[in-house]
Amino acid sequence: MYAFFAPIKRWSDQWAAKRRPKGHSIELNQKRIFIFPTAAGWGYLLVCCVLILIGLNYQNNLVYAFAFLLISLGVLTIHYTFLNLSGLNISAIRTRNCFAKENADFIVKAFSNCQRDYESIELNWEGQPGIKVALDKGVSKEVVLNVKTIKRGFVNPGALRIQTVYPLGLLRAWSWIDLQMDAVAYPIPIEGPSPDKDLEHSEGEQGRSRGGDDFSGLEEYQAGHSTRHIAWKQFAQGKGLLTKHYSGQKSKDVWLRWADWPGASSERRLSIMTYWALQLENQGIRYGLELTGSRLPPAIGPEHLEAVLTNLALYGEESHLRIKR
Amino acid sequence: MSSGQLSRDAVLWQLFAVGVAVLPHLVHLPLWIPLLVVISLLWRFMAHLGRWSFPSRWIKLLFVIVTGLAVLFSYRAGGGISVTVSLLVVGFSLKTLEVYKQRDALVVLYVAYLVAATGFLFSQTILIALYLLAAFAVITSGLLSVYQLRPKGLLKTFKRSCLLLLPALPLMAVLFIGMPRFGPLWEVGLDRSAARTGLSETMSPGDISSLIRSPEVAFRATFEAEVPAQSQLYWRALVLNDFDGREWFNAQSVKDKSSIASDLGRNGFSYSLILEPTQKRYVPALAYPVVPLGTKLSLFSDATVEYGLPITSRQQFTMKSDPSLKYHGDLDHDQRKRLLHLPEGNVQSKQLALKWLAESDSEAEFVQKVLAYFNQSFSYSLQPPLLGRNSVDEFLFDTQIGFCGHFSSAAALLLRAAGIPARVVTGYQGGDLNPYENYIVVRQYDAHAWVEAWLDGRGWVRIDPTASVAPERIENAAEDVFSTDDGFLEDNPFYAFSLKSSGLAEEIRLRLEAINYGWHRWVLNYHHQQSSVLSSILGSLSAIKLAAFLLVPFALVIGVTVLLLIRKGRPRASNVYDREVFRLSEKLKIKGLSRAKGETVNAYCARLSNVMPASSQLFVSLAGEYERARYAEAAELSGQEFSRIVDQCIGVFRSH
Repeated sequence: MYAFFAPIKRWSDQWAAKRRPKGHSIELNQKRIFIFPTAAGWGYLLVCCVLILIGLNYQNNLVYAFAFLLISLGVLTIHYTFLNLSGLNISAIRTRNCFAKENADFIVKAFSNCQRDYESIELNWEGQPGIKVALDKGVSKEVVLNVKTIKRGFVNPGALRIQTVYPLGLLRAWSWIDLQMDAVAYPIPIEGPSPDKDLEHSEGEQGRSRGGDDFSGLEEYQAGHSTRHIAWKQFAQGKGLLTKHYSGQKSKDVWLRWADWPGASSERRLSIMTYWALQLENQGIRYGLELTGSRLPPAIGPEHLEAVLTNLALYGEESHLRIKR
Repeated sequence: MSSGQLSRDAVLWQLFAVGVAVLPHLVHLPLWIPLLVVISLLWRFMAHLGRWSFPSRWIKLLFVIVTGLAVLFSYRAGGGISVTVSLLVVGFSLKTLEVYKQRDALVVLYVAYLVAATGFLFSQTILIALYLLAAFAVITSGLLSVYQLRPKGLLKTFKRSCLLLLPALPLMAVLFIGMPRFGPLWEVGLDRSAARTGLSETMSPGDISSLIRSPEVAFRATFEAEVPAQSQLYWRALVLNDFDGREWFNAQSVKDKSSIASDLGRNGFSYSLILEPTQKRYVPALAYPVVPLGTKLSLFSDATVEYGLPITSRQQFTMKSDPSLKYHGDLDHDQRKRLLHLPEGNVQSKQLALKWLAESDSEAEFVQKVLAYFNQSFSYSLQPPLLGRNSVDEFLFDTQIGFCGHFSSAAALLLRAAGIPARVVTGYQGGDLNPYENYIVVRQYDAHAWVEAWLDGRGWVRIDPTASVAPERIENAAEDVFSTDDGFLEDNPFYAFSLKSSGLAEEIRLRLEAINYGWHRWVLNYHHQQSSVLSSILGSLSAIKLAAFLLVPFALVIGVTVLLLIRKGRPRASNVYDREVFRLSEKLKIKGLSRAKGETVNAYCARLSNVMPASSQLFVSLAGEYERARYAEAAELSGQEFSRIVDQCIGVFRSH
């Protein structure tokens, strides 16, 4: 049975996807809002019918009046529900990357120019649990929607559904929009052999040797400096963010190369490289990345880390999408 | 979506809605049901406060079984809609006990709507209608609270739901006026406990006195023209042809239909009746009625009118009568025999009749003798002594105290014994005229019985023996006559009290009664007025006109509602600078130079200065001032100064 309907469903999904508004900021209007009774709405209709029957059989005009009031309220609710979505503006703000099998965050902003409150609006990506928000008039709200990732690579959550059943739950108004947001899921870090033999045996001494380095002074913090060397004491004294500089600190650049882990499968290789990138970043050792088709010279800092991880995540996916640095 | 947990406010609203919906039913439900409702609400409320725990599954099961049996036991005699209502009330008060999720709340609230509406099956007063309208708003608040994300306080939720409801009221009125009404799909009866008093199919001495103690309204009548005199208002309901020595009744269940023409003579008049439910078919009518063809009313050869079904709810009829109408050709042999038949017994009375007959020259003289006899030594009382087997003998020669039932019974027997065909007629006499609305209220205490005798050459003649005993009983409304009698209205202390007041109180009573009458006529019995109301609004009726009548207000109300919401929601800049730029853009709209969506003020000013290169300096300064005002730390220009620049800009375009 399902097989029979599958092509129809596929065709209608494609049709809907094509019609779906795309963009980073979309305002919901009558062209984009659908509305249909909920199960509770059908129940309400049943109550109306029962009352009409009672009114009919007992020739009771007041029961009729009560039923007519219910019907009128139901008809008006179509508009109330519609207006609780109409004029709402949803825009993409930013995404937060994650490791595979974790949740990637997509942050969207809901606001409206219309001077009315929006109550109980549910946002959810296709197939993901929803989040309910309410907006007071003139106030915008950022909503964090997360998507559980399965594997490394781009995370495209698909279409975003914005729906509401407010105020009486009789009707559901909804809209599907495509905010064209992408996040990246990095490979899962897996511990593996060290990329540098020196690193392996110097590792044990590292803590010690650094302790033995001579403290040579403070310099102003710049993006890219290791956060472990921030002079917190001076910061607390209000002297600004300073980094401790050690004269003996002589970092040896480490390369993470595709060829360094022969024998491991390519996904495992990427995971091990991810692990080491995190380790080296943590230890304050400069590191570079060399993959087929991309090369990142040794550096350190959160931005570098992100570039490295992104390159690892997108390895093998369309190369023009890779972040070059 | 409907499986979420209810907010605390929503739980309170559920409890409130249930209480409000059940309240009007408390009077007619068996006592244990209100008790159950109170226990359920209290238990859920204590659970809400966290003092008690929710009932366990076993306790709930026990509740269901016990209450189910109790409903069966309470209504083992049957009870129509009452059983349904009490099942609904019991069911949803038990459901309240476990209201926790949104889905539970929906069940409770939908049933609350039903239960509230069925309140109208038991009472339809204006007060109940107002109360149930408020109940509607409360239940709607309950529904609203289920879907509210943030608790806003009970009062705010109620206010919000009233705002939702307000535009629904005119729509309801339109539907009420325009929606076509149909007859019942199947026959339903209100249960016996709700049955009203009415005339009995038989009459034995003492019967009517139970009616006379009731001030309940039997029917209301509106006359198109002048209201006939009190002494002419004999509302004939039932004609009793057979007598068994004590009781008058009808032996034949099938009555002959009348073959009289349905047009009126010169003395005809028409009136409309709003009849309270009696569970019987008879329709009281003034002598002598005709019935228009094509109605559900049937007219019989004894000039009584019946409705096709027992009257279980308030009904309205349009009637026509003509006192000069002749309802008879001649009595045939069988009819005469039936109308003269007397059983054994009551020997003394029969002898007296024969003695008087011998003394009289004509039938009319005999009738005079009978009435004169009653006038001699009889007295009228609502609490007469009880009578035995030969009721007429005992009454005529022994007790000589009684009321209409006794007098008409005795008079009919005397007439028959003298060979004059006679029958007893029961119905109502008189009524209470309401001067504000020009209609007559006839109450149960106006119930009356009299005699019709067949006099040769004159046909049926009405003889009211009670009138010769207590003539004022006939000439004034019953209320005035009986109010000195202890038995009158003794079961209704409040009503009796209101009778004694006079003047202002009386006027208020009449005014209230007039409002009530309008309510009955225009709301409760609207289906009888509908076609005339609609044709007075729409002219001749057609399906298209009716559809337009229903749809146009819907479009209108919805349009206005949406417009109000959208107008309120029109973007309004929060600062004077944006407002001023908006003003400029609006002014230039006619020239096609309004600000594009998403266009910055800077770009807009640049575009304007391209159009008006001569004044480009002005636009540059406008853009600069705007930027400074909006994004610099402190504005250099006040709003007024900025507005002056805008004025200049507008002026540039105006001069061209």
